[in-house]
Amino acid sequence: MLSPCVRWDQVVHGFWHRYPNPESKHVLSEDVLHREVIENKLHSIRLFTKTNKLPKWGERFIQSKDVKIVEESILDPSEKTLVTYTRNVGYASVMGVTEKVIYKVNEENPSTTVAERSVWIESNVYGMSKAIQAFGMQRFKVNSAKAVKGFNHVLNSMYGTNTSSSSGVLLHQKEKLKDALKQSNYKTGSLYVQ
Amino acid sequence: MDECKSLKNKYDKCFNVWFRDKFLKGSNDDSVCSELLKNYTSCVKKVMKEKDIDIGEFRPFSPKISFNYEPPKDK
Repeated sequence: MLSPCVRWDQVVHGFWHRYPNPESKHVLSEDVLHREVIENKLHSIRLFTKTNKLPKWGERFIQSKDVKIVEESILDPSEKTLVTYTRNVGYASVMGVTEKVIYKVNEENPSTTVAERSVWIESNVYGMSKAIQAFGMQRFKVNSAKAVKGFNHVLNSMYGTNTSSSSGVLLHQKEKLKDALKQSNYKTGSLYVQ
Repeated sequence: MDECKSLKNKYDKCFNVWFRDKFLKGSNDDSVCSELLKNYTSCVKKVMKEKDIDIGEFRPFSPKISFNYEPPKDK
């Protein structure tokens, strides 16, 4: 799973160069909306548009052909942390997915980087929440795997680490996903997976 | 946005150098790229308006977006 050796500063540098990559054909555009340094931390807001393939039932709620994703990030160079919040906008009341990732120095091996991921999904469609959330979780897992693979590809080409095999994962992923759907007893509202 | 490609490229180039050589080395002065950023983001916002891209609930740096923010665990 884990492996060579991408330092935190390399990861955050690569973070701004994630697209395009071979796994990102569904990403149509990437733009900065806002960026400023506040209290020594770099705050950025970026907007992505991605193609949006929906299951049939989803088309009842959502007409748009593509999906907008807002990514807010806070980079602290002295603490060496990059925290990102990524969420869909536009139809968030049908299915709002927010992903939080913390990129930080691996304490066990400071020349490597750890990415901690968590995700939460919200839906206000009465009676449909569970199905929507299950769908959202599934979609999230697929997209997340793609994003990690793509990011690793970029880091690979930037820093020439030899991890071209599919098992080569540059970032040590601490997945916080687990099957919370089964244990939760909500009807509508938010689902938090850690 | 394709319409803002050249402005984006100019800004990205400036940002990348600033990020690597200044910001990560402790400088907080981001004025060197600010004009390019302004031109670029104005273009993006204009295109968003034309294309009717509404990101409704979006607002810069909402107070809940912070390092420690976690969503409510129970409702």
